[in-house]
Amino acid sequence: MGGKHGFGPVKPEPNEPVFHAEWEKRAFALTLAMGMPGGWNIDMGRFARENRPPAEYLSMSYYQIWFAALEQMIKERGLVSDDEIEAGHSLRPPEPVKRVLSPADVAKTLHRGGPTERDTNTGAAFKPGDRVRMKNIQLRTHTRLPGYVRGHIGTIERVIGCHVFPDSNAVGAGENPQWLYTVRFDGPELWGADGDPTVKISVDAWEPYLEPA
Amino acid sequence: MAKAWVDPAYRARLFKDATPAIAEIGYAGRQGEHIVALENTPKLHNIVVCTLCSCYPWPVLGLPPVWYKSAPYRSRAVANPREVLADFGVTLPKDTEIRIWDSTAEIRYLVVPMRPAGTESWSEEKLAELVTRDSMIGTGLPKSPQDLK
Repeated sequence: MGGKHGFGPVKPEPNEPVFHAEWEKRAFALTLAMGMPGGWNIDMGRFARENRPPAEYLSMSYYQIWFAALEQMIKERGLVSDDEIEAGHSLRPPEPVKRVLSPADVAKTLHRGGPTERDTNTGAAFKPGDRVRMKNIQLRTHTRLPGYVRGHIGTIERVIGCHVFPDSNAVGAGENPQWLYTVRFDGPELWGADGDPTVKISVDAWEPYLEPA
Repeated sequence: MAKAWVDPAYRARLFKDATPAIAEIGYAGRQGEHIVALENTPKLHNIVVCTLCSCYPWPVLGLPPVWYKSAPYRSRAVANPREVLADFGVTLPKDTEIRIWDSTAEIRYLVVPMRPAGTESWSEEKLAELVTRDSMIGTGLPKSPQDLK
């Protein structure tokens, strides 16, 4: 939604609590915990959250989206069914799962995180200073190529490393690691002649998103 | 942040590779696997956003505030950052370059604000009281010594 108009001002909330209701806390914790028995990866989770009708997406709160995506993902994997959701409790014995996050492992698991850098034998196609055009790829599944940079020309600022490619990972096609770069754009390149020339914007972009310019 | 203000060797490590430098003082983990520190200078002001959703460096800043995840911030930070700064009561000189970092991959960005003027003799502990969350996102500036009075 970068660059879209009409959303109004940003409204910071003074002394904002981390969660605004108990259920938000639970939705957040359940989503993280269910990643293990559910067997989905972070990019599948992101796609489940973002892939819904725009009007619905924009009218739901952040944790409503998280909870809806969680419900969808556990249903897709047969871990729960509609009648159980309706009933609010399980109606049949649980499906076997490979792994469960036990309370004793939570801190360790969160601390370990999920680094996405991978070893590679391939060389990076671009180097700092190279001019690149962002490809105009219109993927219907998860991508990390923002609409507002598609077709625009930027400069490679940094070669970050070889990282898991979310476009593949989100659809179960494997990690397919690709070189990742920071690509910098001038304001007017993205926002036209009226774009603020003192503003520069960067995105982190995988090599499949780029072509020489 | 305060450590980066008082300890030049730590500051150098932080900008060279922030993830191990931050782990030195005990912060690491999920959504902070690959952290990059961004240096604010009198000529350059950095702002972090995730236009795609809500990527944010959890281990150092906690979970993101609602405004960070909201459509107004995600849509406007990349196109009209000076207006967004005004929403936070921040005005920068007209010729200050503004750099927006859209967190589109697993790299998490952390702004290192400029050390406030008038704090030359301050200890690291006292300086830490000037650091705010928003100053590390880039939508705010650190508190000034007057703010603590």
